[in-house]
Amino acid sequence: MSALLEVEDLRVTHDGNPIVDGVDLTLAPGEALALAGESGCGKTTTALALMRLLPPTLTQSGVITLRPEGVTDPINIGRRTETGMRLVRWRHISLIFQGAMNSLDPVQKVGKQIAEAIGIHERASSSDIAARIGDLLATVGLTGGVADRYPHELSGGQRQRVMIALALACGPSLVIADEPTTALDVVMQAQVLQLLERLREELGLALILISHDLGVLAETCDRIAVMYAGRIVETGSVDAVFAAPQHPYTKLLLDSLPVIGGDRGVGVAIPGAPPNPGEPPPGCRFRPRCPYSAERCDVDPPLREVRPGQLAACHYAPWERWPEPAAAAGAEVSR
Amino acid sequence: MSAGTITAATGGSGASGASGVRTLLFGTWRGRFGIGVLALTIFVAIFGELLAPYDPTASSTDVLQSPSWSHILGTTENGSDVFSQLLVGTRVSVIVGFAAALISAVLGSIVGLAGGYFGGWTDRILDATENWFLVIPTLPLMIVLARVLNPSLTVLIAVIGLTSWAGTGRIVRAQVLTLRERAFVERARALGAGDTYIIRTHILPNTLPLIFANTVLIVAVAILSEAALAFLGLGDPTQISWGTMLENAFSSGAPSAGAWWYVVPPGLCITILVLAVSMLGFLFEEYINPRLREVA
Amino acid sequence: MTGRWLFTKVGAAVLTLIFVLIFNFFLFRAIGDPTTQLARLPGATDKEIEQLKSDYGLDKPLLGQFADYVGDTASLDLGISQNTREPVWNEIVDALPWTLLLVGTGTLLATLIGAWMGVRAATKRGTKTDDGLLGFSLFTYAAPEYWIGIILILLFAVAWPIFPAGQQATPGVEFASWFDEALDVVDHLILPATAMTLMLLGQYFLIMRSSMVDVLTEDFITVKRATGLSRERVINRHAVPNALLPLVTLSAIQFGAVAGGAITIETVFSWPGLGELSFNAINDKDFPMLQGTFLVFSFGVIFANLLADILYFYLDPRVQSR
Repeated sequence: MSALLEVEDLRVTHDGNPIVDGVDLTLAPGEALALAGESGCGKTTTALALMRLLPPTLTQSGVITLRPEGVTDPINIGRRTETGMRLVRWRHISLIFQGAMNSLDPVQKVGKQIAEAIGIHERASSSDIAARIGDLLATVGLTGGVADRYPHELSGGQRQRVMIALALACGPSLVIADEPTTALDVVMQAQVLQLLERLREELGLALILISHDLGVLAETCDRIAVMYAGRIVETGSVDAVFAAPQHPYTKLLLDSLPVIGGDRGVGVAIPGAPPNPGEPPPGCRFRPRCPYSAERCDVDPPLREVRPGQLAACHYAPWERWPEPAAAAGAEVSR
Repeated sequence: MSAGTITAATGGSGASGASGVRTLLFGTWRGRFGIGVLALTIFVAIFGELLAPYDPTASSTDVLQSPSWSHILGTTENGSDVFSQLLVGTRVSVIVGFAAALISAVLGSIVGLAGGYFGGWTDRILDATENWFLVIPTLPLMIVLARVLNPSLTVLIAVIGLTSWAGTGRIVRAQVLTLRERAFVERARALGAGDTYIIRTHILPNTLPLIFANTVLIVAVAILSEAALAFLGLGDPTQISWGTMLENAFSSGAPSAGAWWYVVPPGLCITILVLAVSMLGFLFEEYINPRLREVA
Repeated sequence: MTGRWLFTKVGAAVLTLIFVLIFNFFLFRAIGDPTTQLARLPGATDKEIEQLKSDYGLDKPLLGQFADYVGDTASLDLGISQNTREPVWNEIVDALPWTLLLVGTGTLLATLIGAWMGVRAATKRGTKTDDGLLGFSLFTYAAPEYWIGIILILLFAVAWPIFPAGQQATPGVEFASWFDEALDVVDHLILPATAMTLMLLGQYFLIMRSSMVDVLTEDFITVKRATGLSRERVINRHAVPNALLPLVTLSAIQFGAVAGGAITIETVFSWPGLGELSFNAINDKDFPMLQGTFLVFSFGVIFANLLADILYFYLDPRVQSR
């Protein structure tokens, strides 16, 4: 079975500075991929690049191939014209943002916004569209009356569901969800994630879930890619990576998750900050913040398979177990 | 520890302080233009008579002559030299502009401070007064006041100053309201500091930059106001100003006579000076704003 | 809910107007007893002065005089013009339509052109187009509108006599039909309306530009593009409508300036509106007329502000559910 999405060497630069610095991804139909990392690591930029939605100040390069079900010729997203992309957007790939106040047009009724999206890609009668809107809203657990509301008249959770309904409106094969639960409280978060899970099963949707919250990603996704400073530093199945991370950054991210009842208590934050896109540090980019760095880290490590099905960009991987952090390396960075 | 000052709050970081202002003023072309024009204007305002080739009030028989070697900007309807009038008239714009803006700043600051800090009925009354002045059309108000009081330089300065303060007042009030609730003010009160002390040490230093930036912009408004009043016949009859030049040009039929040399220069001078002052004002505002966001 | 909001707004407007009346009343009392001016007429005896005072109600206590003043104003008795000896109100009524025509045309054009410029500048932010438009607006803001008016006359009525140099209609001409007469008025309106438009343009441009720039950073713009809409459609159908909302309320800032501009521009073009009435009143020291025009200008601005508030209320769905 051929991959739904193949991304080769995706690069995004701003004034010559790399924001996304050579990212490869593969996604099978119906698969859920988690994209994790701190703010500013390039996750959202990668997502926007997949839909060619970057602002003109950013330049993207790389091969992006989409093979949606029912489409004979693979879609070469990197090479499409803007007009060509407009046919691909939403029809084959759609996007869910945080359901915060301004992810939907504030002065347009919610139903009209869904109708508008459908109308771009299909010719359908207004009654058909109205029926579909009703169905879509029902699928996400909202009543038909919601269609006549303005975004500000809905609660945060309702808005998020509307965004999901909107994203499904044209029957895409791939949905990208960028921090879909960040603006929600824990209860609503669980509901939205369950919804996404159910939709995935029922509709066979592939999902790229972007979040800085590892807990959210663990529940919903099959595979995970961890990004740092514009690159993927580790990727593999969620089970494998969470059980045995092979990159120090992943390890530290997992360590920072609080465990209720465990012996760790409140998590440990990772000191320091990601490097400036214009001035990457020499050698391994994570080195300044890495408590495990040593001599070999002078050289930039390639992303390679260190265990079956698990890739990491660390010279000292595979890590059977994680030693005590070298005190010197950690202290260098903390303020 | 000097609590509550802007430099303390920002930790005296990088581009703040004197060096930051210097970069802004001399490093940007807007700043250079603003400073350059302002400096030139003040110079001419002081030395206008010395620089003028003729006595600006001296009449001659060369009425409404187009520019020539003897009169580089031609003559007025009385045969006076336009260029000389232009130079001498600079003084009025500068004096009225700055003096009126100063009055406006002081008045606006007092009102904003009092209302914002003391709250209650004081604030309600002052705020209502402020809003009244903001809604009422300014030029008609100034006209009425100036006509009743009979125009002179002092009257002009007073009238413009007394009608332009509300904008400053509103900004100051908003800032004071924000500052009043800040931790360092509450701490000072807990230590027993009186109102005067708090206002002097905590509120004022954090509000002065705002007042300054706003006042620069009011200078531009004041210059335009003086010119408009003069154009309508409410300028000081004993003084030459760019506005009175336009008034005389217009009422003596210079436009229909095609006397562009009489009409264009005074208005152009007003425009350029207002542009220069406004640019400086915007620059200061930009400079102030990020710092204010840190404190507030 | 709407009722209470409306009541507060109208109440505030009425209160503002009352203070205008108070201001008017006391200001002109400050000049001195009006009868002293009349008493300067040669040969006036003390008895005649007393009679005058009684006629004008000037022998009543101050509060009584103020009550009279308010009552008179409410019944549209704004006094007699010292210059023309005609009732002030009549002259104002004749002049008002001309001012509304000038101001209305200017505001409409300035809003349309300014908003268009604002959208252009915001979508081409940081480019030469943006810089050029910003520079142009700054210039029109700094330049006195009456100076612009005079230059327009110099260029388009004297140097190249395309348009008339003043007044609202060609004097002494009989027109074949009302349509021809209307065209003549339009012909006379063009230059003064241009001056008024240029005066107001800059502010509308800046507001729209700033508003557009804010809207374009919102997530929903990205979402709309993601659904497959072209950039133009996203801008025109989604960005602009959202950006227009602040324009409605913020443009109210200019209403006061509009009144001032009406005075100076009408003076330059001898346009027979309230502005020219004011100008004549200044020259003639016609205080009743000056009081009257100030009152009407103030009322106009207060009323316009109220309308802007109400309009915004209807346009923004978010405000309505309050």
